Amino acid sequence: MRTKIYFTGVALLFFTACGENFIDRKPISEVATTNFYRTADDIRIAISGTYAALQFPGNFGQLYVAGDIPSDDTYPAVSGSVTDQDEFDKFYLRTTNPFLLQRWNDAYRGIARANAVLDRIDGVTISEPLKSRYAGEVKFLRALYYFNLVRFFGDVPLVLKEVANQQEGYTYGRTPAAEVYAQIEKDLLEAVPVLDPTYSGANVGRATSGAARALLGKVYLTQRKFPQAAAVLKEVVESGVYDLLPDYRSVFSPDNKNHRESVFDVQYLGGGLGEGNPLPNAFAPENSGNNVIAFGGGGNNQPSRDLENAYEPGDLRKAASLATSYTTATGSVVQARYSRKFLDNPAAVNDNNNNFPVIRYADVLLMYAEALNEVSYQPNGEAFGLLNRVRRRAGLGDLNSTRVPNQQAFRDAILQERRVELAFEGHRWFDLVRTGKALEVLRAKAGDIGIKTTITENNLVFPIPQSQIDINPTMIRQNPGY
Amino acid sequence: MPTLTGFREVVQNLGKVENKGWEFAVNSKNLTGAFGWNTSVNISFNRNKVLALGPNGDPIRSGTGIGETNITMIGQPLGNFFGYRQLGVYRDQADLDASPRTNNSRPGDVKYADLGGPNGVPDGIIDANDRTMIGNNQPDFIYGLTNSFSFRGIDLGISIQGVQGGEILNLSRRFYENLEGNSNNLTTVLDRWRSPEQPGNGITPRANSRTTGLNNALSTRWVEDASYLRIQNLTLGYSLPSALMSKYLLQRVRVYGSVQNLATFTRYLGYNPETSNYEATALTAGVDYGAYPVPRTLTFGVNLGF
Repeated sequence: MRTKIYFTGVALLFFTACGENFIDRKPISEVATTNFYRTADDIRIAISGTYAALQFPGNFGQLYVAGDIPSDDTYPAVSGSVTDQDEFDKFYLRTTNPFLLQRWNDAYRGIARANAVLDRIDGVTISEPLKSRYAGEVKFLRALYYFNLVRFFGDVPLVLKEVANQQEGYTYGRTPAAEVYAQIEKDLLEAVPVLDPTYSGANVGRATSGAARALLGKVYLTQRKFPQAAAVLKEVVESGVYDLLPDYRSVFSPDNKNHRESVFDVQYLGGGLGEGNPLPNAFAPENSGNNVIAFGGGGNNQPSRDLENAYEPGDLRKAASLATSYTTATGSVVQARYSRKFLDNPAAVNDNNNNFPVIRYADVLLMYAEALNEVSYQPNGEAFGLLNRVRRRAGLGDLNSTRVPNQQAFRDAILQERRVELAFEGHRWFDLVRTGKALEVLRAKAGDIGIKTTITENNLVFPIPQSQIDINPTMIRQNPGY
Repeated sequence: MPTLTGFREVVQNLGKVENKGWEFAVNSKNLTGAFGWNTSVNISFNRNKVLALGPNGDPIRSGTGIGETNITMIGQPLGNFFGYRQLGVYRDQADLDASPRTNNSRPGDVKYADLGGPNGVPDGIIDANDRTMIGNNQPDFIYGLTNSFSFRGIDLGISIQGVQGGEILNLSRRFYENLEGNSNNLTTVLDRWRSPEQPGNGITPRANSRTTGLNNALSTRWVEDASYLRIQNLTLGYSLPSALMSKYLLQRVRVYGSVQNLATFTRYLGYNPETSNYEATALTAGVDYGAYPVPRTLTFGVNLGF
């Protein structure tokens, strides 16, 4: 027997960096901004991009994580991300929770797009008054993104121009909330006179002067500037542009968008364009097949029993807003709690045609009533009329000063009405916080809604995303208690 | 970079990475007679080190399925896993009281190492400051061994490959061992902490529908040894004698059977220690977040040569 052994290869590979010039190349796959922002059409496209950020999950696409789940209204899906949304529901947030970073990132993406337009629009030839209106729309959007940020995080970095390079990004620390609110007011006050009260054709859905006033009213209300809130909301009510739709259900219909009750909506469009609304699928029960909505649901943002019980007998909004079961094609009834406010018949999952209301006229009426009551309680005064308009549409009887005899009782009535009128629209948590009711309400219901920790003032703002502190620890500090 | 700029990242050449290593390959014809036996062996070692990063040398934090999971910093290999280091489970209240803890830790929750604080020194509180490098996917060495045998028309080939050293981040287990009672869990959780008298395996925390104590945070609990040895291929064939075939105008007829991915020897609890769900960036290698298993493929065939 013969044995032959051949060493056919002994390879020694010794890598170090090759010639610097060979490796050190500029990325060629990215579109540069140097050729953009030159024509009126470029600006129009850039503004569309600023609106488009509204759909981002951290802005309005998943507003429910910030606006509904921490409140007594809803709780998250039981499966999916193991604890990420549950941490918002029960107040044991990790500073690394991905939803925190998503809210931060997505808001600043919208703000950066707005800043880019505002920095460059003066260098582009656009006829007036279109140029002013464009600037006003972008200021409205910037105000809206900052409003979402400051309500959620408290003090946040106030970036008002394009950041030239990444080094400049490290120079921003957190600006006190009062200054952020001042900038929001300034942007909205500058937007009001240059925006149109209504639009037609393809421009429907852009920010109107009414939207800017209504948002300003909400910003004032949040800061407890009640006389200013009442004044600006009065202008919205007296503009004659808006009205309540007779049928509550039709407010959220995919077939009836940008109607008389819409003050400002996130625009969605079904039909396979990548512009569909994901919420109808997200809110339908898990494993519900096509019985609630085509392509089934995610079981997100489930209504609590407490919310279910918050509706007065005979309230037409209850059946339009939530359900506790559904019926299968074979006729069996499955118990499941879900929001049915936004329903469509999509051609693909998450491709629904419904808009998402940011501010609608019922909200305006209730805000105006609240502001009037805070200025001074008037027995059977104008505030009662506003509140009762909303109640009548819901099939409920009027409230009067026998049943609501003083300012505090009227506050409670407004908060209750807002809860059932605006459920699942991302308002409840922020309403509880701005009215100073959050701790009282959530502590009283802690057992029912599963909050095990004792929530404190610190819980009224959420933690700054850990990664942003880690990146720039000298400038970005954490909120107390986290 | 701070995302208040509106951007999460800029694409630039800002870093330097060094790869140094050795590769050896030996091809050997052990027997060349009627009974043929060939062997080829290869083994490679690579050491990867980051030399420079960005203008300030700041580390790069990269996320996968659950937020930040990896960190890349100077002097270290690319993409270290980044999380808490588990010391055990708080055995009882006395253990909890005597140990650093989170603001809501309870007996039976995971005990983590207190490695830092706001000022960089341990502060008795377990929070995000205590995260550290807890593993890396890059192996100590990889190797392969192929043997082929032939005897009177019968041929047999066996390929073995393996990886030694290196870790894998089994993020899927964060679901399968979440102990929250909302989904099926792995049987490993049977050995969980139940009481000071029944502390379980000292690693698996208590069951709790609302997790406290950062039990399911990214930690060494999900980092596993990625070493494995796999029988990648086994092929057995038989070529009919050519004299017999030539009258049917056939040059060659070979029937064979082959098994791909015959067996894997590993301590990894997931399906496949080779998995990497987030290969799009080199900074997040070796994260298993519900990856599909590798199929075992059986092939039978006939080769006909005219």
